[in-house]
Amino acid sequence: MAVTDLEASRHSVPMTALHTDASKLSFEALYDTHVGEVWRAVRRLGVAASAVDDVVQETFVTAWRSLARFEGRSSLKTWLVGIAFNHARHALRAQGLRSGETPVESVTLPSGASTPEELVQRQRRGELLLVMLSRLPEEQRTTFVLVELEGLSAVEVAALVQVPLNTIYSRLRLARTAINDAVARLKEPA
Amino acid sequence: MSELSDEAKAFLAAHDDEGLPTPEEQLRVRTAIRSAIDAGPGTVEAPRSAGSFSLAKVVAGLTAALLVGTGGALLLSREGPSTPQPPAPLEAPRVATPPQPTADLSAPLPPAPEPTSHAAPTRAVPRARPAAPQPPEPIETEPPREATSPPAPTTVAEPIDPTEEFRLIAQAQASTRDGNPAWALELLTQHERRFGGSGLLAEEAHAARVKALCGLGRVAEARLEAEQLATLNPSSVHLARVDRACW
Repeated sequence: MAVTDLEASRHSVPMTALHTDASKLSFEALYDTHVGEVWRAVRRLGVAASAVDDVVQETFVTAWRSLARFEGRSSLKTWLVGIAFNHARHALRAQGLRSGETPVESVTLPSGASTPEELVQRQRRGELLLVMLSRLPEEQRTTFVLVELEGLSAVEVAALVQVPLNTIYSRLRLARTAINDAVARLKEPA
Repeated sequence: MSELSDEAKAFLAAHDDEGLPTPEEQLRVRTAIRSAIDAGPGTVEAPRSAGSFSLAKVVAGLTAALLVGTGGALLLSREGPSTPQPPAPLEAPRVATPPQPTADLSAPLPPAPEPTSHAAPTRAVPRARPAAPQPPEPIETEPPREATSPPAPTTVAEPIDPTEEFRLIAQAQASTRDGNPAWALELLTQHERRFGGSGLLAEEAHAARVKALCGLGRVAEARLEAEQLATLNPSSVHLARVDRACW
């Protein structure tokens, strides 16, 4: 019971209530409430734009079919992002094996030598963060996206990625430093 | 630990919507998923990815960390598959069926006012929520039991339909995204009246309220709301984004 209490103490949603009510949830309601977060997380994890549809589909199909087993021990968002991460990881592996794709990794971050116009264009396309993330090593990117952008705790990410917690902290530290530097470089004169 | 610079926080806040799907993409994928779900039991074998992410592992890991002591590496349990079973392939064509109307989430609600109205909906109920989760108030459907009666169930006697709650929150999120945060606040007020602080999406409602207030330029209120979320749910997954909402 102590473990259950510890887990439950993190959340505002009583597990029993969630377990009961989730069975009445419509797929459309689940999807419409969380598709934005899932889609964005998948994209930020590095899945190519052409594969995001599939990963999001797989995530929600998995979630929908598993909903009865969701016990409310994490927030619904955490649970969904966890599922999305697992599917994204498979997609990233497949992505790495294929050729001819144009994942975000292939896009180069504008350096200090880029013209301000280029920076503005990329800014207008809203790609700067994705490009910045793509320049991080995959482990750092995963950690940064899940912790810093999606709000999971380092402990949750350690469980998800299955690495020691200290490793997550280390990756997070490195990623934050890299992002700080990258953002600072954006303001450097061309 | 190295922290994000204020510059980086501002950058992340400005790019918070980066990577979101377009309405067309949302609809296309929703239709495809609905088709896959409706395809029947042939595709119903559930991948195990959902179960692979268990907070039980987290707690086990924390316990292990305490045992190891400071300086020791926390190695969480590696039992069980770390990755999902290969997900069931989605056979459904992407756009095989006519798109389902998104009105699914909007039908019973009154139409949104024009974005010009920034009047702040007032809250009907003070937002006093417990710091720790409390079991839901049981709905009294019968007189209190005698001491000799079997223990009362701890679950809600009359479960509420969560779809309504999800619909309200989804519409509020979309309203803010679509430039109508005033309507989002109205929807969130409805949510609060209907579900109070014990809804399934109480955290989402807090986060959505912060973003809506930011959208209206009511920064001080937004920060107050964010602080309230941090107090009530210090581990909320929404804190990071909420913290940057008004940058």
